[in-house]
Amino acid sequence: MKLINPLFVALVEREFKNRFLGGVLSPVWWLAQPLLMLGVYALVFGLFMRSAAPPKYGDSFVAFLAVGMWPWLAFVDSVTRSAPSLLQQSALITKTQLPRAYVPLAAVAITFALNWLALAAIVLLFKAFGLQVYASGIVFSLPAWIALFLAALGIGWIVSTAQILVRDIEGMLAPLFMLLGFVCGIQYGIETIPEQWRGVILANPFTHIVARMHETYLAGAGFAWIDLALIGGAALIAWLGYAFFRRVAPHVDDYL
Amino acid sequence: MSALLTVSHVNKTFPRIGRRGAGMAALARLLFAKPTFDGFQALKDIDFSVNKGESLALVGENGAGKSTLLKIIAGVLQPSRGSVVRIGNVGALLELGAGFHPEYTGRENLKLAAALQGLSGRAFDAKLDEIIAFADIGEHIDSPIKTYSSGMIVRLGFALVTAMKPDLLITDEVLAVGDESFQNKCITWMERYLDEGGTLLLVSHSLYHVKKLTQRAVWLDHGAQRMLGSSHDVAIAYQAFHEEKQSAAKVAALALDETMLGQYAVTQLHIDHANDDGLTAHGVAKARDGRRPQIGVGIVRADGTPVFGTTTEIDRFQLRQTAPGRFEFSITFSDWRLLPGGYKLKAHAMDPEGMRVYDTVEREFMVSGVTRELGFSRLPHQWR
Repeated sequence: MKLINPLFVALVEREFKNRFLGGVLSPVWWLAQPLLMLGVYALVFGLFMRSAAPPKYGDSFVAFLAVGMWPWLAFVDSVTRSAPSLLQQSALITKTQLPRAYVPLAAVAITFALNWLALAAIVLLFKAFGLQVYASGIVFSLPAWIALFLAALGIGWIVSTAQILVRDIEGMLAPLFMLLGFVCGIQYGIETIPEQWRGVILANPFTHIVARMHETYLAGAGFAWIDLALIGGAALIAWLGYAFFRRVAPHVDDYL
Repeated sequence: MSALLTVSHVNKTFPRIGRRGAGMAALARLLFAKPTFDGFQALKDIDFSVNKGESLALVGENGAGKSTLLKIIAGVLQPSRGSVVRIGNVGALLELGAGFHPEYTGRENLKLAAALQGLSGRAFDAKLDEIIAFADIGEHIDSPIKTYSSGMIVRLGFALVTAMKPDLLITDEVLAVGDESFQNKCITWMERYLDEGGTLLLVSHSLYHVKKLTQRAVWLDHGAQRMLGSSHDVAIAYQAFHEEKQSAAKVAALALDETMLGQYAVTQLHIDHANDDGLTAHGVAKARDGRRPQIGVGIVRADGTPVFGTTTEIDRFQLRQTAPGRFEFSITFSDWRLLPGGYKLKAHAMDPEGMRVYDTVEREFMVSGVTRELGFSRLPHQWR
């Protein structure tokens, strides 16, 4: 499957238009939504609960929250959008020769591209305000972003096909992601977790991706060997997702 | 000659859906590659090939499986068993507005639809004016598709195909929607496309289009391949099937009255030979009262449309008596100029006065041949 296929580009363009030309507030909402969530989390965890960023990541809890939460929201948003994507495009996939794998791929790719760009802009903004952030993180975080993207893509391929046959899948994602989002070190430093629970947090592979985001954006870290491990693990998820998709997707017309 | 399309023993079974837990069971079955046995079998062992430069039609009643087969051929749907091998690029017009998004303009829709057919970038830009000119929908090209009439949507879809010139063109009854002038424009284009070596797979309920545009045809009946042959032969057989179906109700109603009589009856009727030159038949009539009956003989189309009829009384012919109450007759039609199609020979037993029909027996026959003339009889004519 060629990624830079003209058809894929056309599909991404359409996905882009769907998101931003649909309503009056659409162009603002895609940025405003994560910003609002960041604001709520900063209020609850930073102001009310007096949570603080681990010292090695500087003293801005908002910056700590932003660089961990933004990629996670990209992951959650892309998988959640992938789930109904084939059903939404059923008119297209049951009547044309559109390669079906492109549909979730377009949803995931555009979500990640936009969120990476948005976080880059916010990091530069933080820097302009004098917070401890590193512009180099925009580049050095790319392996972690890619790992997250591959994981989202693999899961996106699975849930988009499974959703056609078992319509409960989409509804199960929100509580699952809420749970996962609280056990991957976005709102707190791993060091603040009691010793006996730390293993649980570290067993979550997303914890390590979030940690790499913190290290690159907030501590100025460069590439690391763990990046390869993360990409390798995520590539395995993507491969499994694609294998699932290839097995199931050609037959979903019978159930659409 | 090389086969551009090979359809090998294709079967398609649609699973039964809607039951509780059916989705989970289907998912497990697909993951473990278990075939579906329980369901509606839409296609049964379809097997044919289309060579490069050939044109083939799919005919059949609604629900016969034509669209399902086209989707499988186009690669949109997977067969349950069997395989389809395509060589070269395929342009498919499977359904009215297939792949078009109602919220987007004609121009925007063309871009994705063209990319779906493999046309993009500068190549697409270079052809855009040509596509828009063929569609001939004026300024509507920049309006959302949802504001289009069905005819305008067909124009847009077909215009794209004309720019693509695919190796294999698949069209599913799309011409039925456009107006007459656009239909003619499309047919002219398809004829030129075929002349230039294009390959066409056409689904149409118009036997005129089938005979005009295709060389061979497949008749699908309840998902099975009932006939494969020249489009002319298939069209005739298919037409005869329909005509017979339409007349079945009439025959059934008449049969009741005729069997209740029986004073005079045709007990045997055999067609010795029938072709485009003529027909010879012989029969036996019986009379309970021993009086010599009159016999009426008629030729009708398979749907019951009368072609010709006469009686022994009109022709002043007397039946041969071979035993008490038993009479024999034979009749020959020659140089009758009937056009190819399905027909019936009818023999009626009438009272000796030729006033009342007591019995009717009919036999089917086919007149074969190749022609695109219309009607049922070739009338001598001259163009000047």
